[in-house]
Amino acid sequence: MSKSLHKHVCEEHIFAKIHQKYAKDLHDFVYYKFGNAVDANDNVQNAFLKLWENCKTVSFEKAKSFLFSVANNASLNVLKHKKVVLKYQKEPQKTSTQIDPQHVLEEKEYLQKFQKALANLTPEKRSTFMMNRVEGKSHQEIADLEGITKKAVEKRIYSAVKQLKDELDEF
Amino acid sequence: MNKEKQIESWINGSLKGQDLEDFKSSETYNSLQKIDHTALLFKAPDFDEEASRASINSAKKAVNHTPSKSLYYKISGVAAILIAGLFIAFQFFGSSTVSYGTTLNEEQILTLPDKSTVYLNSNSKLSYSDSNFKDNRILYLEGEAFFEVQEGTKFIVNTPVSQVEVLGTSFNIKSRNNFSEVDCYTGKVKVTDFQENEAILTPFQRFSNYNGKFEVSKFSNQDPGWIGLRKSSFNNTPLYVVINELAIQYNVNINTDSIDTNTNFSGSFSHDNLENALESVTLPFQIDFVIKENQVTLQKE
Repeated sequence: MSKSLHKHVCEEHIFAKIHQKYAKDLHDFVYYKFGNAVDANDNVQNAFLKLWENCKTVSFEKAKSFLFSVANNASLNVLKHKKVVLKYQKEPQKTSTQIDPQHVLEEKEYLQKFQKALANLTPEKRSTFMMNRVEGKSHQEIADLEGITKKAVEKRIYSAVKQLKDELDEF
Repeated sequence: MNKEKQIESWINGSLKGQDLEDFKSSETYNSLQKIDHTALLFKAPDFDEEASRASINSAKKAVNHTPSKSLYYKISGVAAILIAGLFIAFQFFGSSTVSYGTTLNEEQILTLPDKSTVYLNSNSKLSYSDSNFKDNRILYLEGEAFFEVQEGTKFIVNTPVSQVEVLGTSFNIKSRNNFSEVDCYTGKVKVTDFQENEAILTPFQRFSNYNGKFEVSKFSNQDPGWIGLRKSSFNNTPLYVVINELAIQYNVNINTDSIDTNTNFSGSFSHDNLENALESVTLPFQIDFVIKENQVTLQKE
């Protein structure tokens, strides 16, 4: 019974399906967690190759958590206590508010402060927060991806939000 | 309820009614909105799924599962590779992404595989996966489009900041980096934005999220007003949203330092001439404009 399931991951179309379903989330997750300290694309590729090597022993149901833990472990080895600073895109559109030089300066300082505060979050908090707020994943979806409970996801988001707010409010 | 408790229940969605209203007018909520809005600027780089799959496919050929020894195995090995190759090619074409894009002053009318119609306004992008579209009607939009949806399975349009879900109906979406406007013309439309605000719209209701401020309001125009006319049309939309759209359409910087952009604008601007477009937007507010190459400055008359 389980043998037939194992065979499935070795089949090209099942493997392709797993890629289609999880590659982007895996990429985003690795990026938010580890920033540019690791190459998210390489990381995704290695995790999938590991899965392919082990396709006879990893069942279809376990493929997702296999991918996420391989990616996670590989990155942890590289990372070792380095601070993760995420890059931001161009500054917000200034057309939306009245601009005076003072305001522009404040916005810029806020952005830099935000970048720092984001770096101060633990990798887990940061990735959970960003997957929810930026990638639009629901609490349940994140729970499924990371293999934790929905409650734990909510707790992480709450404590990420609170930490960001506390650091930014001093501003 | 103390602040911490409020934030906690706002996150897990249990804050409702008056408590929610109270919370939304609090200072705390304001700074949380700012956090959400700023977080968007830290979005992960785009992920190229096709490229990823291609590189994995070529790398995994090196991984060998069953070393073959006899001629018989060799032959069957070749056959297997051929079949696998064909299969991958089939998969590749079978699930290809279809994309359409328009430039300035260009409009496209598209018919989707399910016979739904999309009118794509200028400077907009629409894509969807071709495989089994009829059972899996998911599209991605950046810019503005009007949809006439054939009845069938769930029809979902994702934009950078919201998700719109319908059964069979017509509706218009405007979506750029920091705002999104969904207008329902017929039927019912369900909208969820990136902050998980959710609303079910009936005809002539609008869902808007400007810079993180979410609202459901009414609008009065009978049709989106831009189809076939090469223009952008607005109904009671904040001026800064209109100016933002104009800047994107014409790829110019617009300086609004000295004017108030929080008033609302109803009307349209054309996509064929920057000067005319600026005139249509500024005239009602007695605002002057100066164009210097890519830089436009707006000021009080």
